[in-house]
Amino acid sequence: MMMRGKSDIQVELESLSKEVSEIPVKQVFTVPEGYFDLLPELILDRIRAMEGEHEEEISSLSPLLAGISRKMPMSVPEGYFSEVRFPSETAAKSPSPVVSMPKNRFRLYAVAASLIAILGFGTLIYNMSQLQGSLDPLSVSKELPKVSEKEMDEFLSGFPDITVPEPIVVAGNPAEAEEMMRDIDEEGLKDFLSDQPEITPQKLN
Amino acid sequence: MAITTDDKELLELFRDPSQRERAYTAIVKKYQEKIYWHVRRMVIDHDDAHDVVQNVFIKVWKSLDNFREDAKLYTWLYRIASNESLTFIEQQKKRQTVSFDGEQSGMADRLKADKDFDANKLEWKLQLAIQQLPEKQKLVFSLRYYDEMPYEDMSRILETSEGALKASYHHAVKKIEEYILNH
Repeated sequence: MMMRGKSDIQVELESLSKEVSEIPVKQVFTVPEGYFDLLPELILDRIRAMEGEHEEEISSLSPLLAGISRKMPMSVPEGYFSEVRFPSETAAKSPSPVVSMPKNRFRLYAVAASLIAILGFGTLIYNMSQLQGSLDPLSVSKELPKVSEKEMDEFLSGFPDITVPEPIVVAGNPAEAEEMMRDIDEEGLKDFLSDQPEITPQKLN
Repeated sequence: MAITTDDKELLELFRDPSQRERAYTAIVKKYQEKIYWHVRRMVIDHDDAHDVVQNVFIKVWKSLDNFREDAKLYTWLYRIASNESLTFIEQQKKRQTVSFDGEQSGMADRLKADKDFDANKLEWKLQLAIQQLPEKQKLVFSLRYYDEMPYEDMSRILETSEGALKASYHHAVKKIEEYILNH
């Protein structure tokens, strides 16, 4: 055990208080005779009793568990525990490595920003051209004549319940009909319609 | 065959299951008196010191496998002993606070209850003066004055800077001096 010499401590004490330094360093308390001869065995007995109690408890709870070794099966890298330090010690003994940054950081950032801009703009242009191509009506009308009637029928048959409305056929010349309608007043029109058979609107699905 | 007294060799022996108890007994024998007196100066009463010392060495038995060998065994033992003593004193204070019989047996009263107590003797007056100090200052004074411990080791035990320990010891001595001069 490393202990500093009495003189150092005595000198220090004298400088602090002459009165206290003059008091003899004497143990005033006493212990029962032979106390220190018995203490180690007394402590060991208590430890054995505690460990015995623990064994007894685990044996009564689970004899299977009591029979299994308590040795940890996991291993740690060699010398792991001898290298472990308290956080404060680690901080004091092994300072974190300092990584130096390039001095002209502005140039680095400018290059990185340019690359990002080029890549972003290129991606945007490419996506727009792809989108335009898929929506262009001209490309549809170009391709439509190439489709055969059979293929078209097959395509349309894939959509259920589609009824194509029959066109309403206006008899005669439309200009003539317009001329005829001009001189008919509202009353006459109602009479005309009442004489006609009922027209049911074509259902459109 | 006599067993070694070297801490490092004792620790190696402790890790050997067949030598474990033998090595442990050797460690207890080597340090029991220092630890006992350190505890006794804190808790005063022999029976209390006996209980605390047993607790200290039981903790040592349980924790010695994890002891880091780059630390000194004796500073580690003193640290456990100091903590156990402070815990004991704290428990005693709490018990006194909830006591219904109104008995307030402080440390000074425990000293006076010692069979050898003599108020006229300077060394007993010194003990009374020490009991006026706050617990941590009492530890600092005890380690320096009685155990003659270097500030470096005290710093490890009490986890306090050497500067703060020097200041604490200085204040402790001045308070003791004042008490002795006035009583």
